[in-house]
Amino acid sequence: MLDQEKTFEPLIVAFCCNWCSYAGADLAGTSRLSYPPNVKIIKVPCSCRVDPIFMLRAFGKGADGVIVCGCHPGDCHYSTGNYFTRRRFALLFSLLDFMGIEKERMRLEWVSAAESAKFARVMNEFTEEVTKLGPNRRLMDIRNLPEGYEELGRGPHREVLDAQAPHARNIPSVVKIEEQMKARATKLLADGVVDRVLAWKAGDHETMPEPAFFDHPSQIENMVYNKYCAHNLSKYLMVAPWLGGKLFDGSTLIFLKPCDSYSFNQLIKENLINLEKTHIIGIGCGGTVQVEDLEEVGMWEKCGVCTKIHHPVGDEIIELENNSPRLDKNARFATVEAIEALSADDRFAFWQSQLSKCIRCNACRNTCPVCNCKRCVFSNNKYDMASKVNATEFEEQLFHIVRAFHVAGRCSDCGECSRVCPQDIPLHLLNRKIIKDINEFYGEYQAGQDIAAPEPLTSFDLNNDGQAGKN
Amino acid sequence: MEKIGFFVCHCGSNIKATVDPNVVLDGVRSIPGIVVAEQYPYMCAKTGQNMIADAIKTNGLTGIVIAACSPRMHEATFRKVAEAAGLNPYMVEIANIREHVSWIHKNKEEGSQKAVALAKAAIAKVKLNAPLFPEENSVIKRALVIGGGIAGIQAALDIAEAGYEVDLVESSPSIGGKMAQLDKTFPTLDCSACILTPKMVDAASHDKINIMTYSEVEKVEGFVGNFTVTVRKKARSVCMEKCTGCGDCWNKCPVKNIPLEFDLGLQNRKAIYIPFAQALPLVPVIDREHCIMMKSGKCGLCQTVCQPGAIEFDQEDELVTQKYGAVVTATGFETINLDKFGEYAYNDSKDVITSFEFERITHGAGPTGGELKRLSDGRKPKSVTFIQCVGSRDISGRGKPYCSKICCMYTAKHAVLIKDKYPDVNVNVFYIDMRTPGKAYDEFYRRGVEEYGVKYIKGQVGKVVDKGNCLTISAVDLLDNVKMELETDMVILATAIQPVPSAKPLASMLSASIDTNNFMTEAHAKLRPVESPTAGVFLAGAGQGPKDIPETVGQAGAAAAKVIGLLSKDVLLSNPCTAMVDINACNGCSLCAPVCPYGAISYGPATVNDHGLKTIERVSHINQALCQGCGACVVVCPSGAMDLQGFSNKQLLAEVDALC
Repeated sequence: MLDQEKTFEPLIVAFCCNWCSYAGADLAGTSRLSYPPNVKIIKVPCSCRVDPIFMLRAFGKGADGVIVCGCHPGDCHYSTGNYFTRRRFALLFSLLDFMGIEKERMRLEWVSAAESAKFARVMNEFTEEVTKLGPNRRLMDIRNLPEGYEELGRGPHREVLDAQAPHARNIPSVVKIEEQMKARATKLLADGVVDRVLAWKAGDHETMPEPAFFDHPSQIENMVYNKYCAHNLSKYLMVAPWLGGKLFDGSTLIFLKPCDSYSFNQLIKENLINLEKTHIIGIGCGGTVQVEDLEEVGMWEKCGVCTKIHHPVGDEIIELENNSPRLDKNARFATVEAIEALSADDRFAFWQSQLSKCIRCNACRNTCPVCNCKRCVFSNNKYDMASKVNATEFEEQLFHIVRAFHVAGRCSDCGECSRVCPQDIPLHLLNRKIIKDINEFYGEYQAGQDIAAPEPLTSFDLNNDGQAGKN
Repeated sequence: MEKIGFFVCHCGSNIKATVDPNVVLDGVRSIPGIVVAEQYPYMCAKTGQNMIADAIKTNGLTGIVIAACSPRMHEATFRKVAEAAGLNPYMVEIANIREHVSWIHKNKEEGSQKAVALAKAAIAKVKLNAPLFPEENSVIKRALVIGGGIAGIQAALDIAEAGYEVDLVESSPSIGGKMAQLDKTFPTLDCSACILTPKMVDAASHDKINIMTYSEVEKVEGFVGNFTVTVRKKARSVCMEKCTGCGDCWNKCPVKNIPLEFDLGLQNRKAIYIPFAQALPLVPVIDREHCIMMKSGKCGLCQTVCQPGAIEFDQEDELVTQKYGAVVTATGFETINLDKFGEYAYNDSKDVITSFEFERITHGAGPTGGELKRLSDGRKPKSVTFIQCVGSRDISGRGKPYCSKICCMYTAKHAVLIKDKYPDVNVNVFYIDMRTPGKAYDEFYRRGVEEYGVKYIKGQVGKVVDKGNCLTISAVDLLDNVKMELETDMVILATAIQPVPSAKPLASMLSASIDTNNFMTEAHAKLRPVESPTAGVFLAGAGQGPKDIPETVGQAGAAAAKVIGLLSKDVLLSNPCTAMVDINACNGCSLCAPVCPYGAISYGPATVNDHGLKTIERVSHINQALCQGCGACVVVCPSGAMDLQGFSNKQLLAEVDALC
């Protein structure tokens, strides 16, 4: 064993920006400063060109350490590129750490063209540190069952999820709201203000309402709104014009619960909603319940910790009577904190046990309002991502990390990903961890609250980005 | 199927000593697509270049990889070779096996293996390279020079002499800058005005130079070869065309007690004024803040006495927008504020002055008519003490960490000027180090010591106290290692210089970078010292770093030469490694525009053809001329609709795969 450790030679990939760090590496050569041959450099124009996917791919293919080097803040050849790099990797490193993946395997360093000695020193230190850690396995194993937990779903540290057990609580009646919704929908359709209505209709059982379009006042009697209407309708309006292979050119009335209205507002921000042809009615909500085998098992987790009682967007609002905040707004982070408190090994085992259940059905992606790419990177050939049946490919292993990262700063924490997951994986915790980090690192930010607010990952603060040093 | 040529350079023994070229060749030979694998002692030499060119032509290569020194060294060379041999220059990749391998690693086995890995990565990348074609952009044959000091004047003259139109923008009422305020210049002691004013006149009378004084740059758009700049011509309240510069107006103006900026407040001016007698243009301005007519509407004396009727109280600021191919920044310097340096008693005593103020005192047109006098009581001093490095080389945070460079020499000049006029005056100079490199500089300083008897004391002054009839100085003589107290009549502070405050907003308008001290950054400290990293923006004068007049004039000429070289081209080729949008994948989510530092991304409708279903959608659009190819937009794009040519997602992932 000792011998093995001694002979372990880590593979280290270094992404260096052309203007500072690559030149710094060149100068290290010119100055004959030595660092281990384990370090292999890939040149990029700017550190901001390094996609987290590159880093994950390197780990997935067998790299033991990955380091990104850029110009010092303020010295970027492109003025501001490294500020985005700094935020991006601070959040990525923190997320991976949250999943129990050794953050010591990844680094972000600023190396100027003159800092050859720093370049050599950083590479020496980093190689030494990664050598101590041994071969990288965790990222490749993140979706494999941990040893001793072969029984699906009985993974370690289920207890952290108890913190998010559905809250038993009286759910206020929304019958009055349903009546008003029907009245408004009928009127707006009859007056020709809208051509169709997006709401819920009765399903096979009263606990199973379904999202539905209504295009005639006579259909409105089938509309329902009750405590089982958990679906976030935001995304239907975005994709609906394509349904049936026909373009819909008319205008739509959409009903939005408070939480949905944040997602919807984010879609407005991303220019994915034709506001001119949309009539928005915000509706009150007292929480929705989870049903198993036609039995109520309690409130959905997302409703249990919900603090969103107002609508950031809406042409009309039908409020709930006695609408008042239910919870401390930070209560939703309790589970994230419980996981953070575990050891790295335990965090890893927890996520392994959860993510190993994933069957890659794409339900999370399909329901997520901000997973709104026309072609997901996992389905197009831009990144030559593996096809989804090939469950051993590393991209598959990293799907949830990449997905969480792609919605970072855009996710309004609607919780739909976890609600629709047939395997009961608490996927929303990955997003919520990023939200918590954004709040802590860069100041409180709620996606979908204000469409004029700069997004945390596409903006920077010269004076308040020190959190990147956390890695 | 691609046909890749692979070439290993020995770089004499630089590479060969620790990387075995045969191991490298054997390591890549079997990679699919490799049809040529050769080695040569010097790939960059003519024979090596011919070898590559022949291989391209003979084998119809679709891409080449050269394992050699850093791409920063010879990538351009090999791209030219490829182009001459009929291969698109962007089908070339370099595996850096010198700076990143042979010069780092001593073990030949390890080095050779790493070289193979880097070669494989470069081969994996080149297979995904696509021919790129630079766009042609026409060059506007007109230059903008910002700053009307000696740097700006010289640059404007040189550019104009080459036959190009130049606009020279100066924020104060006259061109001339700091040099116009100086008395004599070191090391020759020739009169500053005598050498500057002819140049000012040359510039003002040049038919290719358009001078805009009392004007500031307000907005900059565009890119190299095609900048659009808006200049605000502040309301002068005097008609430039009608005014004859006779002086009746400022003689009659009743507002008398406004400190004259040109004299650093040591003399007063009127509300309508010219900054100095040789001002160009010789047209006064009305200081609207102090003019009685402007404030209360009652006065108008200047208008009454002005024969040509040039006074225009209702003049308004004028915005002038013009296109330029190149911009020279020559914004210059100022001295730092001394509020934090209480020990020198600058704010407490009239007899403690800055060297710049002394420059006015010793000047024939200055407040004392050139006579050496104490400003407190008008008495001629018996002893004058100079203190150097006031705020320079200061790492305490009060001053500037850098050497202001010009102070040693101008202090030597001031000391000699005093001794020359008043041999009986005692002159002491406190210095930390004497820095006198420059042609005839050290000789000049030694003349001051040896011929004129200027006394130099190595040491820093701890305290200056104004005792009324004299000043006392507490200091340490570091060579004799003794504390000393000194009585003197006048203290002159060699105050650190810094860029003018307007340099920072200007740099941001131009997307030109500035360093932590707000000096303009050069594209390369040694090899491109007069260019900013932003193409088409050139640097001259002390705005780039402290420098004296000959250096400033030299740099201005160099910047002008770069401008002339640029303007002499009819078209510029753009860097083709720019971002590209796949409109079929773009959903217009607008994440990309906020991260673009160049404002190159906009959104607009485009016809998207998705498997025959044609729709008009709002998608991202890249202005290829503005894009500099950083890749920020590519990474924020979650769908991969945005990609960077030359550094595409597929190329970089192929490199990762090849290395791992």
